[in-house]
Amino acid sequence: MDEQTKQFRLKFKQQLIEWLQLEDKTPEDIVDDQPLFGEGLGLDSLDAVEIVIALKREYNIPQTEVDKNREIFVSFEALADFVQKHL
Amino acid sequence: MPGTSSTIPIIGMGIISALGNDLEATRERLFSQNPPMPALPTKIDTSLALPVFEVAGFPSRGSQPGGYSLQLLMHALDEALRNANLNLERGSKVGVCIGTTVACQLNSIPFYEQLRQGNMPPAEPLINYLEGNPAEYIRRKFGLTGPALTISNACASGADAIGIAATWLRSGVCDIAIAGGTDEINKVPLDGFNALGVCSPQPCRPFDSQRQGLNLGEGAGVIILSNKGQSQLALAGFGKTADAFHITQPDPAGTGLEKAIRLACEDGGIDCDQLAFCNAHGTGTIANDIVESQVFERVLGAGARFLSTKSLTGHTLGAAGAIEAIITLLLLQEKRLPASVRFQVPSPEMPVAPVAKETSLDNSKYALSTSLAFGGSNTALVLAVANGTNEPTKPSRVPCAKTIFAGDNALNQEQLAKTRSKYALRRADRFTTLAIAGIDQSVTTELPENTALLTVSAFGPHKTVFATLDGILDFPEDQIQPTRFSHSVHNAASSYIATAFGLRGPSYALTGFENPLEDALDLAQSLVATGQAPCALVVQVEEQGALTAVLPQICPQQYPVEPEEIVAVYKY
Repeated sequence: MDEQTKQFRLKFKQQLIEWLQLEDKTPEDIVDDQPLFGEGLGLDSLDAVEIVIALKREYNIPQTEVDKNREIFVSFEALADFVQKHL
Repeated sequence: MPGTSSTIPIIGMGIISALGNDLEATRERLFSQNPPMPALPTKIDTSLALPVFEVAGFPSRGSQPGGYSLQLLMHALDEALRNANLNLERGSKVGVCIGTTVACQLNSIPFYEQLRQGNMPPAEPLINYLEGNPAEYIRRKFGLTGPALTISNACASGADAIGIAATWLRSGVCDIAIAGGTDEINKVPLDGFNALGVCSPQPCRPFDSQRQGLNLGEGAGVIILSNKGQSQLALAGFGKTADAFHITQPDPAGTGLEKAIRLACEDGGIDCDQLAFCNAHGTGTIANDIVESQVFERVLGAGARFLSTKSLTGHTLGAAGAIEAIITLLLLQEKRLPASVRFQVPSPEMPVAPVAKETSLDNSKYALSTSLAFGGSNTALVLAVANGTNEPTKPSRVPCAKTIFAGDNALNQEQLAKTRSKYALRRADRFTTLAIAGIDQSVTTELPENTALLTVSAFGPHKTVFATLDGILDFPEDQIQPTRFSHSVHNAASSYIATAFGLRGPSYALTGFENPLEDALDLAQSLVATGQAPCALVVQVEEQGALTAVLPQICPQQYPVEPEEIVAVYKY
């Protein structure tokens, strides 16, 4: 993984912790290839809508773009890569 | 056994919505070839291109207690009183229970903008909020002496108000009760529901495969119940349950809704197959409509006859349950159902579809109206056209509640942090955490699943309301945080409590400024006395914040609400 990606993933983990009020989590707790929903981080449908809005607000990624790529929610890695591509 | 002692005569009704400004206009428009269509809001300032169903020909009278919501409510109450031919005498023991979402939150943006800048905010929005608590306003205006409770159970509030009023009558608290709901189109719920991704940019189409979500609406509905009344119309039964599942998502299994419907039928002494039809909650959102149709098939069978009148009124939030109960009665009187507006293609995920064309009802006495709310709150009302009167046997009432926890300032940060971790309260706000910590510290034995849960608070989770307003002030309108909005409703705490302690019985979030605790404790007693729950838990919470800090300066001594943090738990 290049340095830029590493840096971005760390920042993005901190953002997820803030957006989703994951108050007892640190960036280290978010494992790159683990699932975000159900298992893994244990997020749910309300977190999903929170992420969609935050991606629009912070990264200007339109909701329609997210809707077309629902597979990005499978893991942190998939979501982070999707966002990084939109930087 | 139709006509059991539980049936309560409805002696008057009043209604205002996009369908019409009174009963007769509503009745006529239900079957019109030219149904109301939603359009972009004209009464609020918004950049969102979301159509809504506004009330026409009833302009706001400007800044007044309770705002436009209260004006709508008083209009419907006036019609209901005329319809009942009832002259409310001062001093009469009449109960008032009104559901609302907008009128019991201080969500004035100009007020909050000043407050968060550290300026003294304008007094008017606060005074209008305090004086405009709908149930208390009606009690004061008519000089009534019965209980007055405003219920804020999100989208089930209007139906719950009817259930609470019926509980008062059955338990002998009063012989006449005014029940209903009211809400106006407001920027906060519009932005909030949009952020949650449940608003449709097109006119809503409940139960259709192409549905995209809900359209907000506005209006009010009032019914007057009387033990001693003579009327063709009646409330035959009601059922109330909590999912104890999730803060915004309905339980996909629909267990709570199914139980509420079965309870309502049992309460009315009828079999579910005696229901002529169901006026569904039918918001037109993806999740709601699937759950409801699956439950209808299980309870009403493959031939389930149902429709959603939200395609004619929009989703009127705290008013919806009351408006739809009245429409249900009008349809029973008319002995026919209109075609479901904009329903075209059945959804493959739904086992049953709504009525597609105008349908006549033969000799039917009973119909169902369902309401579902944020936080997994389910209400079912069985409404009836029947003749005759009856007086219910009044049950004996149990002794007073026991205060089991009075934790004024007794919950420290450490205890709250422990509570958050013990019950996994990641997203819960401080208001909810206080409530759960109070119960955790005082309830030592396991609570029965059907325990009634009453939360009571003057200001509710006002810090989360303000946090939602922060989003509206700081971000583009389509980018506010949906989690904050969904936690700003009074009944968010009830949802967390239900989930934390596995409570699936009746659950009500009550609010007011004139000692609502007393009426809440009394209601808890009535719920147990009428057999709706084996026991009841009453949780009073007030949190401290910017609002309670300025309250004494803006309205000194006007309202005896302590600017103190309060957590108290009572159990019957």
